[in-house]
Amino acid sequence: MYRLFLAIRYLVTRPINLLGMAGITISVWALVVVVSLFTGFINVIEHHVHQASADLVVVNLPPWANSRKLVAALEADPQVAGVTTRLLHHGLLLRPGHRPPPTPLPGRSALHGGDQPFLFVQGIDPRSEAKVTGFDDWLIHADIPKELRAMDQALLPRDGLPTVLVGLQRLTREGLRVGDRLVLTTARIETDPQGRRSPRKVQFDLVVGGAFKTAHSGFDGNTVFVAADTLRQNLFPDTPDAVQEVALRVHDQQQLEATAGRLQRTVNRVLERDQYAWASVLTWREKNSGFLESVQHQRALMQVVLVVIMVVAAFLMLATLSMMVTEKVSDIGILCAMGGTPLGVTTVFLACGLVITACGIVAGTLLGIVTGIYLEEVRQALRWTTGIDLFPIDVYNLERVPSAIDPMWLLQVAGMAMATGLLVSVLPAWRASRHDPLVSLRAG
Amino acid sequence: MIAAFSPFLALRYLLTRRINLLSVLGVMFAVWAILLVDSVFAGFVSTIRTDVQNSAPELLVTDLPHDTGYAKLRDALQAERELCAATAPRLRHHGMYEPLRRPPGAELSAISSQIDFDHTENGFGILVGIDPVREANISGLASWVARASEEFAVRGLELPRSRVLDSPDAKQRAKLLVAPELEWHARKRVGLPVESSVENHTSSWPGVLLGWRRFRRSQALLEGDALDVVVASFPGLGEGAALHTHPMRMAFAGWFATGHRMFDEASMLVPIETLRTLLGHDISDSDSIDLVTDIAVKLQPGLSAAARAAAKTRLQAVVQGLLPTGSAPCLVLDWEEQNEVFLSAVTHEQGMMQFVLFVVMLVAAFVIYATLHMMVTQKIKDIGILAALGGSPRGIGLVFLIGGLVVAVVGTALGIGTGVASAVWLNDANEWFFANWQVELFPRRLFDLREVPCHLEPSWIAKVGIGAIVLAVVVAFIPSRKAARMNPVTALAHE
Amino acid sequence: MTTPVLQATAVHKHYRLGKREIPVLRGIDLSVAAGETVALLGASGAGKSTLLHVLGLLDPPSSGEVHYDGRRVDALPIGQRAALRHAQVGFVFQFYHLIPELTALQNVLLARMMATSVFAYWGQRKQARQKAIAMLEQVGLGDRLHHRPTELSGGERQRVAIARALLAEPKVVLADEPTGNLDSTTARGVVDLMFSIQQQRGLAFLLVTHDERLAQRCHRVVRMQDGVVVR
Repeated sequence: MYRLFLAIRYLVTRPINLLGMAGITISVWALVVVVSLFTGFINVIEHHVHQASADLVVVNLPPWANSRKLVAALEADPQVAGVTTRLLHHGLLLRPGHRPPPTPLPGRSALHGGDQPFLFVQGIDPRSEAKVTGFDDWLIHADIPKELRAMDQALLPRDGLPTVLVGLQRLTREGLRVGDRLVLTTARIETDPQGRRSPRKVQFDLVVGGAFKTAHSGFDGNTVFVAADTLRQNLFPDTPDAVQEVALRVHDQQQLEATAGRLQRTVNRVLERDQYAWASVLTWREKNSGFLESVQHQRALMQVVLVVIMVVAAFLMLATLSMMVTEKVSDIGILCAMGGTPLGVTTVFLACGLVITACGIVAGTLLGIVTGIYLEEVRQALRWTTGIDLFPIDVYNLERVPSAIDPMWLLQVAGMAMATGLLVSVLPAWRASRHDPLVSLRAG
Repeated sequence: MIAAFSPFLALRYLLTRRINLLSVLGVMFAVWAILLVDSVFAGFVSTIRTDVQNSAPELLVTDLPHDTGYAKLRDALQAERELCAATAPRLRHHGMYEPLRRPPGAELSAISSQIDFDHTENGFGILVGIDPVREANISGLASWVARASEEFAVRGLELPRSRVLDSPDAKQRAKLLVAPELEWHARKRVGLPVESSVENHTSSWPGVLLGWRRFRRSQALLEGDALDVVVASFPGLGEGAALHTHPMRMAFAGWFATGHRMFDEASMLVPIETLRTLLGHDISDSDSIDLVTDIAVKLQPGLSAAARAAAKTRLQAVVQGLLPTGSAPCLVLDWEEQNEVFLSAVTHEQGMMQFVLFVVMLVAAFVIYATLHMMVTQKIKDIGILAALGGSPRGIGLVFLIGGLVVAVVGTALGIGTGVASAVWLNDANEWFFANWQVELFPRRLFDLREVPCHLEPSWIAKVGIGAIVLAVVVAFIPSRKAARMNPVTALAHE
Repeated sequence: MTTPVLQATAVHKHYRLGKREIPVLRGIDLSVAAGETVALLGASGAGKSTLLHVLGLLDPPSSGEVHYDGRRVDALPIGQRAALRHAQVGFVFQFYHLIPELTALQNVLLARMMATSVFAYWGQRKQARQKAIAMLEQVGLGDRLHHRPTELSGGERQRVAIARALLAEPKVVLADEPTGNLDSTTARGVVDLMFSIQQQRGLAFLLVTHDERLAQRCHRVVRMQDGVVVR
């Protein structure tokens, strides 16, 4: 008992120990805040990406894939909540009579290519699509002005022409209105009897049916929707069952990976041929992996740098604790004279270190959580006073600096800090225990 | 005046207390970490910037109106002899390509590949029409071609460098024609009619150089393989202008790599005359013009920054003067402006990193504060003695301030030494760790570069060094002031 | 009459202890002439040490004046007082007050470093060293130059302190019970040394002591009680 008592006494009477604590606090704080910023950012990005994607997609379907059989097989899975088929194509969407400017320079255009003239054309079935993705919500997004909204029956032909839905940003940038005529220029690949493949021009007229907007600007900028039939008639006139992608919604997000694995086997079975690794079932994360991974890499890099703070904080604690031992040399003598064992002396100083660490961790974590919650306010205050912008929220179309506190990470940080604290307490404590009590007494 | 006793005692005190070693180590570690981390970051940014600069001409005249011809502008620009060393025409247009031959298993067409916004996995791209002969004076076209095989070699692929630029015949080079035997074999592979022997064949398909990042999709391509390239354009102006599409059979002439990710992903280099033909301006047609969308400019060497800025304005005026009246202003962009969106995305992360590194320094300064504070507490009696001997408060304070300064200077010097050393040997160390323990300290994958980039800016070393010392002096000031303000009588009586 | 080197007029000093003011010196008048030795006698708590601190400009008086060579010095700025203290006054304390990290020689040299700038000192360091060695030889420690205070006996330590006090050639030496911590034989040696140097250099010498016999060796004895001079 005397050990803890003494340890706390020593700490309370020596304000310099607060500094050691401050070191731990700051490093824990920085670890919590910076990482929660990145985690929040990743969450937001994932949310945006997920918003614009189906839970699972079956891609790389072979030309012989039979959509009806495939859909039926997939729908039979208990985890599947909705299935829709899509045709995918690329093309140029141009306005007759309007000569577009040259393509933007690669380094000067939008980062995710939203202002390039080529587009991904998705041929969808609006009714089943709505069951799989937030398609219906994309059409009535609050940002879309009334005159650009699609009619209730999206993608129905208009004036005898098939309609197209264009991302809101592209629509406004190009000054298009509902009812404007566009020409989609694309090509389909034709194979001649010798097996030579060459692109054959395909061109057809479309009418702007309205705008859509998801949370993922990269998706909006690069995608237009047309009715699946429109694409099928123009590109695969001979195969009414053509399908290039199947999108699915699942019941339980937690089992996404397992479901993907099971469905992959289902698809393989239905296609009956798998020698070329046709048809992969991808989760929305896998499908957007390039984009998501780059942000996760940044977070990993940051974590490494933040550990440096912890090391310097360890130096600080080592310094304060060593000094305490030096100063308390006479006390060590007295403790031993009163019958304290070397182990007891060690424990006193060890307890000091651990109390400092524990307080530092608690303070740092609390401070970190509070900063995390009010990060946007902090950012604005910082920008207002110093002009430094911590995070360019406009680039990512956000209203607040994202921040998400991950309890697992908090535990990791606390564990790491505790280990550091223990490590640096052991050395001075051990030194204290090895002090010759006589020397200690004389020094006093 | 600094009294002699202040530095003397400061050194004595430091040397007799091992605890000060800890603050030296703390500062050293902090400075080392800051230099190393930032040098890797700066290296990353600077490598990217170098590559971007590599991919861009010194100046680019762009945003020219539709149907602008090259010759008139070239003559006007080159008349500015003291500014302009060389020019080259550029013609950008979007288009797509599809190889005539596809290996089994890759039968998916270009246009039904999966959507990935960050990587061009399809046959679409920006066709950049260049004049290879003129381009040689402007950009590192030959080095781009050489670099592609280096990039592949780093990834364990042996792909020989394209030889289209080696042809002795300037006309052949201008069309990026592949060697006749390559084209002859390529024709044979797809069953097109060929001459009876290789010797009688002359190449006719204009060449296309693809960015090496398209390799994933087009890896089965052999040099000389036929590609069908399609562009769509509006040859005329006004409401009635119809959209035209033009196909052209071309030959895959090899890979290029500038290192600029977006450029390498998006661009396909084609002979400018071929692209003009595709856009309805064939050279044999009397109505055609030598169409350009941009003009790449190389400035005279040795111009100062101010002279370069002035040159931009001057050349813009020259070009604008020749454009039809009422045209929107054209732009003259240096390499940074040509890539401003990409570059700003690359640099923004460094700011946060430096903020974190500042926190590191702050904690290191705490170590100095703690040890000095403790020194003052332990040396209260000495302070009284010094006062009795006639030491001024300032001199007494200086003892501790100098102590802090020495700790900071020594720690910083050691930190800079180790920082520079580890920056220099970073890649060796990284490889050694990987070879022996399979640990990568700096995962190269994170950077997508050939080696961990490392760039130590002398000005940054100076900033960190001075910053560390200033910070140390600031925190050392607090205990020093305490020492200076101490009442000598109480100090003497202190036990 | 010549101007006294050191003069205190109506010096009062009180300390604050919480809300109470505790008077320590209550109107002291004292002057010491050049070459004069004065013993300050009194029970502990009489204010002897405080008076010494006030006279040595370590502690400003609450009221009253201190004059050096007829010049008022107690109201000077702190830096000037430190400089004067260095030039005019040498302190010798009961507990020697040597700096433990420094050798005997370095402790003495420290006195030289107080008022000299780094660069000036660098120019004259050899000369300073020789003088410090001479000083230590004079106090009989020629063979213990490089010993630390912990390696010296009490008498030796006090001799180092005396050498240190005299190095800057002050006009006045203020000694606060210099023999209080020494056995009588050692004490006699130290006192003899002090008086011989005093005579040799014609210093003014103010000695705080309990020891009547020591006091009798001085020209004049001043007795203090409860903060006033009684005789």
